[in-house]
Amino acid sequence: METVFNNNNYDFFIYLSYIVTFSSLIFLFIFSYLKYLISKKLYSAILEKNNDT
Amino acid sequence: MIDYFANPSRFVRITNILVPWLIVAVGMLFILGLYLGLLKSPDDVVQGSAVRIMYVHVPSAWLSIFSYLLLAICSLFFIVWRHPLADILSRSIAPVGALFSLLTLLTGSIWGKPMWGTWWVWDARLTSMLILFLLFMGYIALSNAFEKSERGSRPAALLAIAGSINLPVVKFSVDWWSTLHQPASIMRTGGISIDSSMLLPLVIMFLAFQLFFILIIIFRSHSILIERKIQHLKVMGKL
Repeated sequence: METVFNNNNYDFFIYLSYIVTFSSLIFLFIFSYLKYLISKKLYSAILEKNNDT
Repeated sequence: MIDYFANPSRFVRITNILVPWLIVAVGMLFILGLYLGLLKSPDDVVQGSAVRIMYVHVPSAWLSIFSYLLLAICSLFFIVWRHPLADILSRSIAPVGALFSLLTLLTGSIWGKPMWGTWWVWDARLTSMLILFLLFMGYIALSNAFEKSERGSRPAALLAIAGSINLPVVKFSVDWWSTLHQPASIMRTGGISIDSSMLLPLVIMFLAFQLFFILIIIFRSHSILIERKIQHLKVMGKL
């Protein structure tokens, strides 16, 4: 961490850019993964229900 | 080969195998990229430590151009062969590409403030990147503008193909016009002008971003494919 902390006054901008980027990527991952899981479960539930009837 | 992968069931089967491997690879590459980028790479002689913003800004920029190119190719496949998977992939790519182009604009702005003294200038590179973001947004709006979502696929695909004219403008804007944005350092005729200590974290971050993009496209395309199957069941009266 030395390299980042003991530097000049650009730290704020460096952290801001990394926080903006990685919070967006994490949000995108969680959102897409949950949507993928929910739609998969929903479809298999529909198929099961159709097979039962 | 395209025919082989264009079968939706085969596409789902193959991509399902890839998902766990991609998650592991993306996680490892991001950790390595962050370690090298934030802790190991040296400061730039002109930019100082602000050069570290490049490790997230440049991969985002490359990926937004790549994703638009992919969107235009998939749209062309959809227009010519009417393949439903091409439409599903286009719809999966557009929001992700929009996010990466927005990230390019934001991280570029954050870099611009300490380096140029301003958050934004109407520079050719910045403006063409903003147009790329608006083209992604236009595609998303047009493809979802109709009650029956498939009706929006064709006009949105035409917009994506027409908008691809902006891609060379984004890439070559720094050569064609006198801009504040620095010229290319890697993909240029004179060879790479960046030191290997900075090139390595950049390449690793790019690989991480690229695999992350593929992973998200797999998730999104599977979700859309299932939504279409459910819609089909509704139409058939089985729901």
